[in-house]
Amino acid sequence: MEALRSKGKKWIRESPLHLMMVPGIILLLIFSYGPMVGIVMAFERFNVTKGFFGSEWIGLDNFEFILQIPDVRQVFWNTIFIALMKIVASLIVPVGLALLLNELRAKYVKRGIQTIIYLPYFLSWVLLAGILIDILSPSSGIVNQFLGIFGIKPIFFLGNEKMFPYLLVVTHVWKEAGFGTIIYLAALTGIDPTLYEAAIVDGANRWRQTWHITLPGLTPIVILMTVLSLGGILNAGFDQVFNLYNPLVYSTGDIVDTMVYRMGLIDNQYSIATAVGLFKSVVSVILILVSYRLADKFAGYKVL
Amino acid sequence: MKVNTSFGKMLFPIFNYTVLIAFALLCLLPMIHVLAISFSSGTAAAAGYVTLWPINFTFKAYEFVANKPEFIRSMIVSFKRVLIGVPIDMLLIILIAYPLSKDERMLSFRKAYIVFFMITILFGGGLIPWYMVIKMTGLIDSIFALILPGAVPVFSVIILLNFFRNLPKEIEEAAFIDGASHWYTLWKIYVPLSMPAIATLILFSSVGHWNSWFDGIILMNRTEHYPLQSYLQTVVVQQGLLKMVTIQDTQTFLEVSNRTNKAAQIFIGALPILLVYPFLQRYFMSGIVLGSVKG
Amino acid sequence: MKHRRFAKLISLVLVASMILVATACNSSKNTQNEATSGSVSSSASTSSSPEKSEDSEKSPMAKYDPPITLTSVRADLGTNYKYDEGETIDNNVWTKTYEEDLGIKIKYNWVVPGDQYAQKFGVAIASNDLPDVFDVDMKNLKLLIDNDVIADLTSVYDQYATPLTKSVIEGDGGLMLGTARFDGKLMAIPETQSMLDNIEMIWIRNDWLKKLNLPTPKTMDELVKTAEAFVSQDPDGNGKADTLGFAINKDAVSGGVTGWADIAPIFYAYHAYPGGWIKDASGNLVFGTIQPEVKTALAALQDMYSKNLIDREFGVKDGTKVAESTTAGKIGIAYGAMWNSIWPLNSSKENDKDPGDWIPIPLVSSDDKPVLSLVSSPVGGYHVVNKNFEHPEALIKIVNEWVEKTVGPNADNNKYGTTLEGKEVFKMSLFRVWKPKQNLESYQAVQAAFQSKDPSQLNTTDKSNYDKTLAYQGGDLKSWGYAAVFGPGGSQSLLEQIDKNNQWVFNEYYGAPTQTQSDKGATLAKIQNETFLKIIMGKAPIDEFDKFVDQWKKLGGDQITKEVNDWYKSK
Repeated sequence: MEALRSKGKKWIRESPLHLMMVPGIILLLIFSYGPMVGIVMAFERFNVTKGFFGSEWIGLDNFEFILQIPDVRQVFWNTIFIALMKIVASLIVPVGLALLLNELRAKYVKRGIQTIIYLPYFLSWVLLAGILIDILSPSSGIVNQFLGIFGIKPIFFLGNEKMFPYLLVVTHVWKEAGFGTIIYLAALTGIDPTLYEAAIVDGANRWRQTWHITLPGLTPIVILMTVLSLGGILNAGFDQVFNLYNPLVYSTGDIVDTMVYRMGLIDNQYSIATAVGLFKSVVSVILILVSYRLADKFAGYKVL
Repeated sequence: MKVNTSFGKMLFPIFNYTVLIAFALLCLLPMIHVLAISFSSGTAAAAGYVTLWPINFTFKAYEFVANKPEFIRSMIVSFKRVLIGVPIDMLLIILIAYPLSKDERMLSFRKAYIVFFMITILFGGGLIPWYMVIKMTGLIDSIFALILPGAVPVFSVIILLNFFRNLPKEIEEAAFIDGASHWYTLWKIYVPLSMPAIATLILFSSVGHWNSWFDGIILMNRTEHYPLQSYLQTVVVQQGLLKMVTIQDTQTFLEVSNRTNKAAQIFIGALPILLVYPFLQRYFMSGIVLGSVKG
Repeated sequence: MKHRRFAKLISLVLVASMILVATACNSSKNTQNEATSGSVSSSASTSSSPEKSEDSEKSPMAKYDPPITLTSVRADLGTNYKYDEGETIDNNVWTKTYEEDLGIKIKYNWVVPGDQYAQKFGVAIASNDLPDVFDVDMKNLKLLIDNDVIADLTSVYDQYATPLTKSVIEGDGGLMLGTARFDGKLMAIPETQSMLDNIEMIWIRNDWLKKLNLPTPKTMDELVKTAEAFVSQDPDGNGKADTLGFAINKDAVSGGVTGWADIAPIFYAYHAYPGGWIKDASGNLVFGTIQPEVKTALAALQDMYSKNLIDREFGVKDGTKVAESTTAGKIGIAYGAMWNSIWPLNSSKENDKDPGDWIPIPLVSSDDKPVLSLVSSPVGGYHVVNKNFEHPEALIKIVNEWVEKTVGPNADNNKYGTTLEGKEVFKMSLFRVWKPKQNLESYQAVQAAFQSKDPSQLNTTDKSNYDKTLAYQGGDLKSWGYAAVFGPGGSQSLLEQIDKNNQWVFNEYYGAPTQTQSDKGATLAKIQNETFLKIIMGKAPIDEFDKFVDQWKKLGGDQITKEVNDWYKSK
């Protein structure tokens, strides 16, 4: 009786919390869960007039077909390779920039540089790709004009299949580094100043302070950022690749998302495209769960 | 280490400034290049003479843009999208982040909720089913088609809920003892205390709405209803030559292929962001970090 | 054989439809005395008859009463299209004409930029969200037929298309209409176009030729020598070795025809026809891309690349980028279509720092055999009707209306085609079909007017071409683009010769992509593209081509060849 009443009380006390989430949950049910019905396409030979529920069910045939497409393995490999490099690079560069910025004494210079380096972060890949294709042109691009000053022959960045994945990484860092920098910089300012004072009293120089106080102070956020990005290992950046790639670099630059796009919208292979997408999602989920576990286990960090 | 301390002390700032300024230039120069092209004459730009300074300075490209009803119209659509979309996003983010910031003792089924929200990040049905659902809701070609489907950005929810969790528990407890409701606590205590995080999320949400182009292209039925980035994608992105067989087609192509006009449109497309974000940037620090690092 | 069969068919169809028109005329009527369609057939009739409601529907141009609403989708007219005050894509001279003459109200479900059409349409098909009538390409046409989405138009075409319409659509002997027939059923009305205008030529800088004292190249060897001279002898006289040989765009590598900066004609010079299905000695169709002649041509291209005659970065430059090089005066030779003077070479001509004097010259051959161009069915798109639409004949009526207003005896091109100010009203129409040789005929009319010094007989389009030629001769550089097409020695004069001598090879496969083509086509095209690129750029030896041929056959090519030949024999 008593227990029941307290349970009822708990519900009354809690109900506003549940109610608050209702609008968001409804929207997600419609716009995120609704489309998941479409996953059935992956197991069908989809016919547009018959729809999701009328099309012929063919089980795992689509997945078997995928494995026969010679490019699929290559595309998955490209995706992972590009994404992994991006994860590493967007860890090192922003941390480095944050450490350097943190050493700046002149406040306005610091703010000015900060403002400039995260400028590209706020521009869409549509605009950035337009700019990049232009400036990287071997004949008229600024980059090659600049390299020419040092006697370097024009480099054909966007057409070189060896260079292209690295170019994706560099341009990704170019766009995203500013954002990471803010986060790490903020984390730096959050480190307890008394720690430094104590270290100075102990006679530690700046290098040792960086090593023993600053970097450990950054560890939690570094772990968080890495874990979050590990889940996206099969997301090598649709917007970016889509706007920058060309047939010359398909062998190294084509990623899962661009392949799915071409299959689905250009070649009208809806079922195959859905199957590839589903496969990708499943792998991603596994990776995310594993990496969250790892973060929890090794850093005692719970994301949620 | 000890020996060259003073030398290092002198050398380090030089190294530091060089690296930072180099990186800053890397981010800035391309934009200046585009700006220079937009102020150059069409011939000079097409011939590739322009580098960092306009050649044959002219406002022609901007006059061209100003006289383009489509450009102005799509810019208005984008502004509308930001003005309606951002408040809706923020409201939903706050309303979800608050309950989830409570622990299991205060919120039953918290784990289930978390799973519910996380799944939406992990899985999607793909483009076609997504389109069909939006069509069923009757939103196609309406500005809400660009707003409602993405109105619950779960990553932003995570940032804000972590921020909420880091707020001193004492204030909240005091409020509850005084008999304050959850509603009151959220709006009168949590939200005012979380302004840095909220300002940051407002910026993200605005930039997200301003920059997205793919949904506009798929969901809008008229060019007039395109947001700016979707419109720019059609103008700035290369046009296919494959289908141009008639003289009439080439005529049109000739008019659109003007590089200076493209540059001007790119620049104007980026301008609102360039103007706004320096003012919001000071909130970043506390906003993002407290939202992602736990104390 | 085939042609004769088609000719017979046409005459039969013509007779049949004339009878039909005659009977329809007797019964068709309109109570309101508006100056109807201007069509000969319906304006002739006045008598009212009791069975009007049934029969009027059956007349080719009869008006629906009450009016019907028809939904469609379309690409918009580009951001530079100048509408008149109050005019929109939904409300213009064409929509009014459809409504007033035919009782058809057009409602566009969506209107998007041309570039986005494919994506938007892909989504619409997949979610089965299609309008009553619309345009598709061959690939989607096949998909729609397979999914049983569109209506069979065989009988409505026979019944409703006017003789004039049929004469335009089947002006090529019915070849293009044939591409829309599946299992003997007419599933679409093709947007017929000129096959001739797709044939390419060489555009070359005459001022450079003169400056370096070079003759007009007549053979492939001479052309290569000319290109070498353009690269090495500093034709722009700026003292820098900054000139390039051939203009080549990135989409041209496969040997396809894009219309500007292609390499397909280099293959033709070696009698290779990549991308085409050509009849071999035994009467079977073989794929042009894997023939030994292609290897010879690739070797020649590799040689040109090694001699620096080809832009190092051609693999990423789209047509616009290549155009920047021609505008900047860095390139003097380009393979392209007859319209290249209107775009992009006009910018070079108007570049006051270095005005390029481009002229079109005939293609060259590598040996004493004449050079032939590969031509494919030039259908611009297919007009189709949704199976669920009650009035499939409305599509034919709309096409009839187009023909009446643009080529019929009372055609008013100033109102419905291109105005004197150059406004392209025709683009606002829903569906179009073109006479197979429209531009060539215009050229011939303009030449005749020059000879007789009497332009008064010219129609508005031809008059405009005449005026522009005259304006250019009077020193107006802006008019050069058109003058170089329709003026004396213009690009159409070359096409006139090609037409006279039948200098082409027809791509015998014009059906929809076969099953294997749909499944494997993209992969095969990719392998081809990569191989060709590598060979041309010298990154792979020429023998890599043989490997490619093996690979192509194994990865589905043999199957495609079989499917294509099955189709060919079943015709």
